[in-house]
Amino acid sequence: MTEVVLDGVSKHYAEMVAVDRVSLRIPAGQFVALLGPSGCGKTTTLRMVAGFVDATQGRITIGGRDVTQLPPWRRNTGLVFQNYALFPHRTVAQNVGFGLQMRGIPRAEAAARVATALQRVKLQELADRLPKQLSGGQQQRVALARALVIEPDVLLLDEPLSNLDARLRLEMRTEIRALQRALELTAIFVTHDQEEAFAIADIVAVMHRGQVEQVGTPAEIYETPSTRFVAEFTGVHNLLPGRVTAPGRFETTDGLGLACTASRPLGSLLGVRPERLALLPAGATADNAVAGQVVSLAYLGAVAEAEVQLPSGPRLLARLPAHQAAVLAMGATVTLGWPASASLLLEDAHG
Amino acid sequence: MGATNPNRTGLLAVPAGLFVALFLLAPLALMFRYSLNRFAPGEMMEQALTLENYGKFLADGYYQGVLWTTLWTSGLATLICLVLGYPVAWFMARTTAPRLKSLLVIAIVVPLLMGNAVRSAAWMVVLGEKGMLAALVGALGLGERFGLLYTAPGVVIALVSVLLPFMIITLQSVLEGVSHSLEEAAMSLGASPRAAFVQVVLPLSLPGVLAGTSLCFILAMNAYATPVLVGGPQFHMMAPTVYQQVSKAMNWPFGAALAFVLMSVTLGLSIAANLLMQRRYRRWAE
Ligand SMILES: Nc1ncnc2c1ncn2[C@@H]1O[C@H](COP(=O)(O)OP(=O)(O)OP(=O)(O)O)[C@@H](O)[C@H]1O
Ligand SMILES: [Mg+2]
Repeated sequence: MTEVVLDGVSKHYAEMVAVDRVSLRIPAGQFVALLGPSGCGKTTTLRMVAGFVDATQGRITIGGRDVTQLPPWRRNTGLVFQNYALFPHRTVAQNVGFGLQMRGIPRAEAAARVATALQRVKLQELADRLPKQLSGGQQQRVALARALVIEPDVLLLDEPLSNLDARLRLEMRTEIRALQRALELTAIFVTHDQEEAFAIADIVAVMHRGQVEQVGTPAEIYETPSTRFVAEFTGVHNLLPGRVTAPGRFETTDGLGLACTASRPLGSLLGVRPERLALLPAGATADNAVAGQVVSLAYLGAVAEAEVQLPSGPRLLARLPAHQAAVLAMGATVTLGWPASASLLLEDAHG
Repeated sequence: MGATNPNRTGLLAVPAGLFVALFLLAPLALMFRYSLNRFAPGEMMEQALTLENYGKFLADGYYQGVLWTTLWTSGLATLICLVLGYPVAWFMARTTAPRLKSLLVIAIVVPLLMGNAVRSAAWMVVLGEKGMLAALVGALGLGERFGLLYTAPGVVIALVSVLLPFMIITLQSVLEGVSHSLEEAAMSLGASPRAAFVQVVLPLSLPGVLAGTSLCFILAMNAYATPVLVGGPQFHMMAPTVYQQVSKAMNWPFGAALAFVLMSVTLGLSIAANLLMQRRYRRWAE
């Protein structure tokens, strides 16, 4: 169990700032997801921890040891690549044993450790196969075993699931999480998939334009996004500009009076997640209730998405249980409601 | 499969097969037939079915010496090409500067646009006793009248210059296929760059080493212009000797026999190298 600390780490490519003063403390044994859109600097950050990219500024420590100047082969990190990067000329067992061979571990001990690692990822039967004789999921398991067998101080995973199909992805992420817990490993996982990040991580760091915008548990990020970017990236589709007029009161620029929780910090945007909007039956009340006309309907299976045009101007996107949405028709007038606690107040400033 | 389910893609090989049969195998068969005929001064040859031409090669130390010279000259030139070419190919496959890379590709391909004869003639100018090399050595005060023209080292140098582009291009294409992330994976697992190279890159590039080496060796064994121009009248390799028999001595049967010996030795060595490599890496190289 090792703590990993990034202290004001930046990476500049000529004029381009790929990573901008990222500070992040990853407590020992915690699983951190770096979440953000393409090009936000996730991979660059991870590769600086692994040692493949030199930090322009800042310090990286692993278990209290400053590794900023160390080459990758002296850092004892376990790196899992998106494309697996298995050695095609080595069998599964030889792939997994590579790190032990490099460390000069005696053969007998290495063989035992390889066997244990393969057992952990349930591949003991395939030890003598070559990588090309394995499925994508099996290859990723080998890559994982290869990174785990060296007992790394930190496990680094760069979108390890993105080449797998949807079902296998779920299975593998559960497995990775279970292994990380069992071995009490510190881990950094890079993904652009919010659901994946929330499902797998103790802590999520949302990145945007090379900076970390917000760090928190999945629930914190979801319940209280601190910036407009984080809110939008995590699915807050409905954003209404306006201002707080009194504690718990928000007035939109087009004159709609809405309720929010008084204790929340002020902001010039009120956001509501589509899944927090409910269809109000006639006569029912809610903290917030707005009527409008259905302008689009999309059936997604378990849920349906309806876009509702408010008379005052804005449109709201509502994600409703499909059976409720089934009664809706295009052009119908409906009332949408949500509790004050679902109103998120945000600053408009964009990253 | 067979009759009930004919493999139609096999048909695609028919035109190429016919071409090979007509333009490569037929002349070879004809040459082989010639090599069994008897030399008859004055006419081209006398119809016969005899092995005496091959017997002459085995009995005459001179011709075996020529084969031996050809073998070691080609082997040495190929080895030097490999040693010089690998780092260049490696650099080209890994450089992140696209301009530098295209520049190198051009620098390597342009010499191929000039014929061997032209380049060998240029080496005569460089290596001769009054050439650039001699001038350089003289200027450095290392000796006078230093010439490599008409010497074995001169031929090896000229051969290397002719063959190096083939080696580099072959190696580069294979090294491009060895993903850089494999090296990174090795390094993250504790391998120094050197260890990553030895354990990962080198074994994965062996098919390229084999292809480049075979190509250069075959070309060297059959070199004509270079040994004639740079080797001069005292240095003998097989291809010029075959030519000499056919065209000067007018001994078609013996010339054909020499050609067959040259081809068999070259082919035999190349096949042996391939088998050796395949045995070692059969499982993943297929
Ligand atoms: N070697 C490089 N030279 C110049 N710019 C680079 C280099 N590597 C990355 N960048 C730039 O740095 C930024 C961050 O790249 P990075 O690969 O870290 O993004 P990412 O968050 O991993 O994106 P993705 O989700 O697409 O993988 C990008 O704008 C990229 O173009
Ligand atoms: Mg990336």
